[in-house]
Amino acid sequence: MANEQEDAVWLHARSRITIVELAQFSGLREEVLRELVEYGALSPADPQAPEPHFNADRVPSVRAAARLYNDLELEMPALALVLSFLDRIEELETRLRELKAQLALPSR
Amino acid sequence: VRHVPKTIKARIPKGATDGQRLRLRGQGGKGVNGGRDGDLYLNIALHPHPLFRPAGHDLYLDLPLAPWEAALGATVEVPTLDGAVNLKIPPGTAAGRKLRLAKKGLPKPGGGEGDLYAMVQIVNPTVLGEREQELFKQLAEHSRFNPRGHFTREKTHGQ
Repeated sequence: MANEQEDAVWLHARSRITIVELAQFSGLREEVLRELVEYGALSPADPQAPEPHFNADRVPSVRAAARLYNDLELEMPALALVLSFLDRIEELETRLRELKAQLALPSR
Repeated sequence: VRHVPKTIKARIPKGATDGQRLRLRGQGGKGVNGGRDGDLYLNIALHPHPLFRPAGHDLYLDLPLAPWEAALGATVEVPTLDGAVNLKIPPGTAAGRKLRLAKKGLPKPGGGEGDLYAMVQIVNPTVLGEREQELFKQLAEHSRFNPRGHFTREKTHGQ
């Protein structure tokens, strides 16, 4: 991450992290992350790049999936499914926030 | 493992918005067997503002207009995060129209700002003075405007 030296870092879509950092932040091993990429459940920021990088806003859902993977001893397909569901929830919550913001309050 | 709650003071860098996540290095659980301390992840929830509603780094603001302001056009003062600005309302502005004020939204983490959208509402006075009532009556008599024209058009289609 560009501002790695900072103690507080925003996990936003425009900042990139390496697969090593994603493994460190999420608690999933690098090879598990690579398998998730193969399953299509985790997309690198630039699919053409030789070494995968990820948008930093992926960290929370990968962390949440990692906890379930470890606690429930999930198989790889189940982990991929959990991650895709968590991403979908995240996406819908973002959309809901956007729509709520556009909803006019009753005029006074 | 013992869990001990603690309170920490965190500096929030520029770029916060609703639903965003912040990672605080080394503020999580203590590392074991020489491992590094864990990180603390914060979920940001913005306290609702009476005027501005965030969507990402854009902001939405309701902009009530009087019917004559919307019909004739006007210049109205609109609040923004860095003070009031004058906004030009084009004649014939419809309710629900979004007027964009570029770069008047929230600052983004990577630099730059979101936009502010003023959402037009058309508000009529609930209590009319004698003269106002007279003028509205005159308008009703002279106007050929039918706001429900599409009702009859839709009906003929359905049959």
